[in-house]
Amino acid sequence: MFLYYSEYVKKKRRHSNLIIRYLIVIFTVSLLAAIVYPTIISLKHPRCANSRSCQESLKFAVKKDAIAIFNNQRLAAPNIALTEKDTRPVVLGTDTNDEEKHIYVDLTSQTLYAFEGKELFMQTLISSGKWFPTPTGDFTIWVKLRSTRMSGGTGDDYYNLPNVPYVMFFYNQEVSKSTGFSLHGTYWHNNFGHPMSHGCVNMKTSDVAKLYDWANPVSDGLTTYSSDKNLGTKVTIYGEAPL
Amino acid sequence: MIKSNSLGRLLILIIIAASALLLAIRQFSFTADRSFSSQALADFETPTPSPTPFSTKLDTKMDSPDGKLTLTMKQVKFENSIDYAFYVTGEGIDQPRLIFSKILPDGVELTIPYNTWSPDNAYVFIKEKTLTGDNYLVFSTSEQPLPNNLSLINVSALFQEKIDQYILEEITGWAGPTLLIVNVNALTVSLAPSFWFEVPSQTFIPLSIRFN
Repeated sequence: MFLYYSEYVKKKRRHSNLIIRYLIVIFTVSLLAAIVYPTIISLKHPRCANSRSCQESLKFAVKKDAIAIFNNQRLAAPNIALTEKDTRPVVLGTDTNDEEKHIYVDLTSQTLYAFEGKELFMQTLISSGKWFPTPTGDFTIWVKLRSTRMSGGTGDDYYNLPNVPYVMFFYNQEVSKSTGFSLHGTYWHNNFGHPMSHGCVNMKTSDVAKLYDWANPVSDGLTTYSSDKNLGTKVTIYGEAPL
Repeated sequence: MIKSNSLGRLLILIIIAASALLLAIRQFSFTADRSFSSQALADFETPTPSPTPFSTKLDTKMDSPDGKLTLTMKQVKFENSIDYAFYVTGEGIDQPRLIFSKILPDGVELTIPYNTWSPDNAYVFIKEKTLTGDNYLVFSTSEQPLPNNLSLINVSALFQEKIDQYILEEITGWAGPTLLIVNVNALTVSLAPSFWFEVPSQTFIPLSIRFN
């Protein structure tokens, strides 16, 4: 009877040890998954370019006499003076050009080239991602906003930028629309030719105003989405930024 | 007899008057000639006070990022020197505003960097290439002088004076309305974190990262 009981106890111990081992394995695998999976996901699908305003920044926004914060400095955000051209309706087929337009961004030289067919429309210096990399690949502009607000970062890196002018959001299968990467104007720094952004392509406001007018979808107001009848211009980003 | 005497006197008077008139005319014209001659002689004998320019180079211009203002550099080349002048033009400025002028010997030159304008158009910086190194000079673009009533700030000289363990390599542009990005080399290491130069306080702020 005693032998029977001791064998029963041994069996139970072995069983509980086995359960503990299984639990340890499950815990370790879960921990690894919790660390590795988001990393893989973030590599494959970059997080939003502007961590605080990703949803908001995809909408048109203008604020009068607003204050911006960048690099721990407060500065006046220039007021957006909307003109008739910004809100005019467009008749497709008359304002569009049949020549294929293509924007190239060379991260290595921090230079943007805009071509219409074989003709160079623009060549200018830009600032790509410093605090978060600008994604590379082939993209399409899916929405143009005359102005929006962008904010993100924490601590010394916190930024809040109302009235960001001439914003052109681009996307592809790997970098979704909600990640909020764009080409846009810049009033808070002037260091073009050097990485300075949180992932977007920063341009001189005078340059991006011309590019915004030129690029598709053809602007049809303050917010213009691309469509089957009004396709967005292709954007190719390549090279490696000098970080 | 009386008649012939009177006629003779009258003739003598006419001759004297005509001679006097001729002398007077001659005297007047001689004075004018002499005056002209002395001027011409002076031109030959004394050196010209201002040198004759050899050539005028095309203006160099850089627009502010918002396209509202333009910084223009004018150059006039002389035999052994170049006369530089920098002007600001654009919205709200009726006459070109001279912000800086300097005559430099050959081998020294001034240039306008691509990112010369501060984001709010309040300042510009220019680069002076000398035989011993580069100087970066900051100016106010408005009629207001720089802090401490300065007409310019030589950032390179200030850096050399205040920070002794680094060498200023390059100023690339503006990180904010008053912050210049200063890239440096350490004396022992080639690449070091950048500095910011804050214009109003004229201080250098060390950073933990480098802006390449």
